Amino acid sequence: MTAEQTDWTVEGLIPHRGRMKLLDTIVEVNADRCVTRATVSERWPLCSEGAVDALVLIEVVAQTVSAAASWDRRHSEAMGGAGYLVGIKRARWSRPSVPVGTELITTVVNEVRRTNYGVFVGRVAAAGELLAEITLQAVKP
Amino acid sequence: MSETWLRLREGGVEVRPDGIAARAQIPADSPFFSGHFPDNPVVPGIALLALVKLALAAAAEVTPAAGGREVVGFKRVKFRRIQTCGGEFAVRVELREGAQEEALRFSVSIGGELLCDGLMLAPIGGGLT
Repeated sequence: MTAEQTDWTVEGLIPHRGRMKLLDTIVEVNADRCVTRATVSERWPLCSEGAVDALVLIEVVAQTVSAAASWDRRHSEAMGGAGYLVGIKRARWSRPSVPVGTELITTVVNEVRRTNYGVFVGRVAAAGELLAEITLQAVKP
Repeated sequence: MSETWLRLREGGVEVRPDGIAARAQIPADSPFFSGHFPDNPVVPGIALLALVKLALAAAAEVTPAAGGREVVGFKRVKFRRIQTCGGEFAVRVELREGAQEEALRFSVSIGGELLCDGLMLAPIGGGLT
């Protein structure tokens, strides 16, 4: 692990904590994309009968976007830091719920990058299966 | 599990000719606020969307127009303002008797202030692939 990689902890890149911190690991982050890993837990929101509502995948993508934006702030003057989700251009999932214990790999690509606005395309997969495609818009106040 | 992340108000779902009107609550002690964010609680966007899903599911028990639909996504959702605490939310879903469309227009407000609106993708029969 390089010295720079030690900064790539989840807690170092996103403000979410406690039961609303859904990400486990930052797998990769650079100017173009961010990849994260998360394991579905019964402590997550909207969990019932051993599975979470697929709606939660939007939050997983949003937290990956937050990590990407924070990394970007450290490396440029582009959007970063405490941003807010302002829109969902499109979100679609392939199954209604995701079982507890499922390992999610989320990849977010920064499609539009401006000083205080960004559009991010996220894909959530598990064991090679695409579970959701979600495009988010975020701003930095 | 006794915790309550969010809930519909008892008797708070009304089916009207033009759609569903529901009253829902996110309690001040909801786990949503436990870390979103420390010292700066903000209602997560997924909490508002979950209220919309909940309203559709509850309406399905009383009107065939809402029944048999599976929520598969959302689009063109705008979060209009930041809500910093829980409370009672008004949920509206446009849904007419016999409606066949996949995308249902919705809104969530609190105290007359619009928080978010957009389209919920809920095809009849699910449409999951």
